[in-house]
Amino acid sequence: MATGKPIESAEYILHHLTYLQLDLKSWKIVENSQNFWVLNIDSMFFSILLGLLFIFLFWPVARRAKSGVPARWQSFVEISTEFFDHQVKDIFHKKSSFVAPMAMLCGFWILFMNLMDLLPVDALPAAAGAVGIGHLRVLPTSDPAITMSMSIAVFLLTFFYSFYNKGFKGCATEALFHPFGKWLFPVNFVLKVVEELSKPLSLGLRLFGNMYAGEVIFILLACLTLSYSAPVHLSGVGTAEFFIFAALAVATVFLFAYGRGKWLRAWIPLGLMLVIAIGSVGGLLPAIGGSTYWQILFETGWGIFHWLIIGLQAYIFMVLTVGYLSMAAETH
Amino acid sequence: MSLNATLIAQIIVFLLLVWFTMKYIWPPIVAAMDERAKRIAEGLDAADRARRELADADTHAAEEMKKARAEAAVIIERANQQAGQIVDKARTDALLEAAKQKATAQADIENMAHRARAELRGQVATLAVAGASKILGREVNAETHKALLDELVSGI
Repeated sequence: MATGKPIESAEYILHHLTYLQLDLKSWKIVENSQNFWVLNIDSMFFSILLGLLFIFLFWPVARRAKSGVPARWQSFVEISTEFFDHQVKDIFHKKSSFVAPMAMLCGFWILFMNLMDLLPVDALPAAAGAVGIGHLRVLPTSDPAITMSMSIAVFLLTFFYSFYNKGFKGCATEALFHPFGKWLFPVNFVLKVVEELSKPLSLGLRLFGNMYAGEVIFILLACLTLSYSAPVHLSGVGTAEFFIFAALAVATVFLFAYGRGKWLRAWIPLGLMLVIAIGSVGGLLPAIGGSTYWQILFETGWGIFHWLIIGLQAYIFMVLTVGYLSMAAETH
Repeated sequence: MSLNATLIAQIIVFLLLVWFTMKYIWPPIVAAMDERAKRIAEGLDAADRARRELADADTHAAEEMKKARAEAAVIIERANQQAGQIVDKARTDALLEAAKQKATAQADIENMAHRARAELRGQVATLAVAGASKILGREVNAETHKALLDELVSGI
């Protein structure tokens, strides 16, 4: 957003939610295309980049895996491998050479993609803007095409795996004669179709919804200070106040982290921060803008909370994937 | 929300990543981990075995020690006996030798005495004649007194 002129919130939000797209018919960079034959290059770029990151973090270890004393990184890789192996063994009771690796890939890939949400919302788009790229969405999991592609791939794998395990007859029996017996086979079939279709939909949309909402909240918080994106002349008092605020923030974090059981004291600097924030919004204190303080407080809070969502959503996707495959493998 | 061709492209990307993970990342790590588990199990086994072997070796060594001590005792006893025998033999030998030498010495003495007596026997007649002539102041004819002289000599 290097235009310098005041920016409307709606424009800002829309800008952040627009994909950098490539039209496959005309081979031109487009935006907001509603055609099907269009690629969202930005989310694809970042998802592939993060997939490669996973490979380049884990592959060297796998290639040189020794049974001797492991180095630190190998230990980490082995611990995570063990973790996924354990998760899969809990849910999936047959032997399979691809379920556990797939679970590990899903877990790490989605985790890496979700972590992109913690980058400041403007950092990468602004950098891209500087080299002439107009739009850039850095969070691949807030792109439904990405999350749905994964859930559809899982659905397809489930489908084939189901046939592989139960055969055509087994699948047909399951689809037609359960749960209401053979005389109600149309009802059974409709139910089965709904059940099967709801799996990829819920799997993909859950991840998308969580990450999209998280990103939108970050963007909305960023809107708090939109009016300052033009150069702001700081008054001396305002600057001093801002530094006091920053010092209080450091003190808060420090007391929380190293308070040695007396972390309640952290509420003192935190309270002072709130006083400054409230006071500057109400115009009682000279300030560079009260919403700066609110933005810092809220973004920190939301960021910390978002860690939970990031990990949880990656974990849920992984577990559900294994769960669906396990359902496909087991006859009822 | 709009779905587009990204969907298809990403399905392929996802499947490729799954394939790669399944083929090149997961198996070597799991293999290394299993291998390590095996090696640790073997190591623990070996340690157990070593401990058992050590205990065996200890008892064995103790037994050997006991045996050796017994053997040594036997040897010492035998040596003592032998020493006693040697000393006894030496004593009897010495006694025998002493007795032998004593007998030789006695024989020598008797010989010498015998010889001295014979010599004396040879000279005693002459001495007696000489002594008697001195006493009588005249020549004594030995022939006349031969019987008497012979009696004197036989008296020695």
